Amino acid sequence: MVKRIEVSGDVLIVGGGAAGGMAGILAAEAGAKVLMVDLARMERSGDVGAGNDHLAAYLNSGGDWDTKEVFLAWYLRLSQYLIDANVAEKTNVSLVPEMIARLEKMGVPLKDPKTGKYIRTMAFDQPASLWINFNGIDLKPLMIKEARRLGAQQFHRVMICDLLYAGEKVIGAVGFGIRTGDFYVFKAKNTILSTGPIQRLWENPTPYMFNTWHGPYCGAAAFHMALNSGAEFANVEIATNNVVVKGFNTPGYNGMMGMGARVINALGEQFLQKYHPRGEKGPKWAVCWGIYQEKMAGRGPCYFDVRHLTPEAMEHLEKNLLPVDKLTYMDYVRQKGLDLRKDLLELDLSEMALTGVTGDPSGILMDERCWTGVEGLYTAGTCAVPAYALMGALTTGICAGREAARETLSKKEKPVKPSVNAIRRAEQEIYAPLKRKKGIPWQEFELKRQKTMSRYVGIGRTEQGMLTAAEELKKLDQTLQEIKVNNLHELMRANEARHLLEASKLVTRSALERKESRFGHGHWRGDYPETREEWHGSVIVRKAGDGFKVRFKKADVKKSH
Amino acid sequence: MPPVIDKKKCTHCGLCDKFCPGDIIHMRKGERSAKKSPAVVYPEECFHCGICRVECAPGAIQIVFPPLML
Repeated sequence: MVKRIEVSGDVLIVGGGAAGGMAGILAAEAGAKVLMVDLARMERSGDVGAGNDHLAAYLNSGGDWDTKEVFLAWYLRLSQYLIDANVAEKTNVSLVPEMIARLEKMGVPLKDPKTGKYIRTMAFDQPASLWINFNGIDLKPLMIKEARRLGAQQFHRVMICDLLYAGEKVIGAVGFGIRTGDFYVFKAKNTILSTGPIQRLWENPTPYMFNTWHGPYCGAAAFHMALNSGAEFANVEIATNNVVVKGFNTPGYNGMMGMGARVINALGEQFLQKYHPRGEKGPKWAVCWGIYQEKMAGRGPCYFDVRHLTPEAMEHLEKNLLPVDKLTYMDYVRQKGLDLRKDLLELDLSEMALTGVTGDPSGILMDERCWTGVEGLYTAGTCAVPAYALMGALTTGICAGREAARETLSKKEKPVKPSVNAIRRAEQEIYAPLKRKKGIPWQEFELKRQKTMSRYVGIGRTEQGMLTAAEELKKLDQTLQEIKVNNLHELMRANEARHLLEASKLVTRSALERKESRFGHGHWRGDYPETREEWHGSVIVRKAGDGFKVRFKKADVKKSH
Repeated sequence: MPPVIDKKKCTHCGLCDKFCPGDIIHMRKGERSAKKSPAVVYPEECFHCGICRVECAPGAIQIVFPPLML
């Protein structure tokens, strides 16, 4: 018999990563009763649970480059003006000074402890040195502790699987304890979805499914829930890949390029300028495109080259940047038998993913208050748009937490009671794979789904291929009902598979709509290989009945300037 | 496969299990001992993030990459 735990609050936060952590702090500070839930232990959960080494910010330090205006212009240009200028300014860019102040007050060491100054570097098509390099290993533990100090109630190792509704209004969510098996019913006046990037939608280039470029444990819960609520998604066909260390599948590109690394081909030539005028410092999609073209031209493999860096630069790179980008970076380099002062480091292209990285125009659509347009439902972090990487997660977390709390506290309604039948149905669906007597393992299902996405909706897409993908994904609805699991850990993976299937269908539908190519591999169609002015805008999709409803919104470049 | 836990150095505190974001390390009772020890139950789901090693005070954890990744 499954134990049922019911909890009520003002603001429910699904996902306690960088965005959810900040949202928890702001909502609790505003006086709301906050419920934070994460499928892992929150101090180390999410995409930056193990830390991060770079944060985009302007600091108003005096230079004409270090301002909100320059930062916002860069922010909009990187998305090719597909993100809404007003929303980007209100939910992201204008909150940068508050983000910096809050992090420093919590004790996150943004300044170099040796010099007491910020270390600023430049990469990814920035107009100036707008990255802060810092040691962010304790970022998450400090944030989660602060939210707890302010009174947020934290539920660790609980996987939220589905939302609860009263009519079309979201009134909470249900899930299960991944170690206890307990069934959780959360009732809340407002819910914030912040489960981060989706990394396992496509196959990665290594033999291990979880050896992804960004953190693999974030799943696709926010996408699944937002989709079923009727919320809209923008540009989810535009995926991102990255330059990674071959075999390790980890980037470190920002740290490397920030310090002046080169990318060279097998002939020892620097070649990226052939593909983008800014070469190594160009936008991520252009760097990936250039490396792919170079390899296809027969001049691979390609390498990171840092042999020319000064001893001081190498020390900073090896001690402060790479091992914070991923803690095990230098372990990998050593076990591979390499010395970066003397040897080249072979690179590769990572899998495609919906990562919410810098410049990414895709995700759950929100307004200038991080509201999704569905009553009771907000979103924040890299599952939302716009929100670039760590800075976007932290600032949208500030905005969503503050706005959801304000909205909740401005009304004196009691939480609506969810229907008993709806709760029972959700419970049955969540636990079904555990109750089956026979069936297939979740891994078999996931391999089939991932291969379908990589073959037909990956790098290089055509209408014919994507229609095949849509058919194959529809067939997987039945296969999903055949997954049998043996324990709670596998039950988590089975529910993730359910969420990932929904996200796969959404991406495929959106990719079919955009009849042009844009962002390099991000959306590269063999049947429409050009970037076209009439498609300069956002493909916006939402669920309607068993299918999808699609609309197109032209980019407003004038408004953006 | 990563992580590799040195049983002699392990103090059975359980922090590696508690903080592993992928739920791959579980404290389990051994056949010979009543004490629970950490076991890497799902090594193929490891992201090599190194959180278990950071949280391990006695330094009992090493990250060893499998040959297929090197």
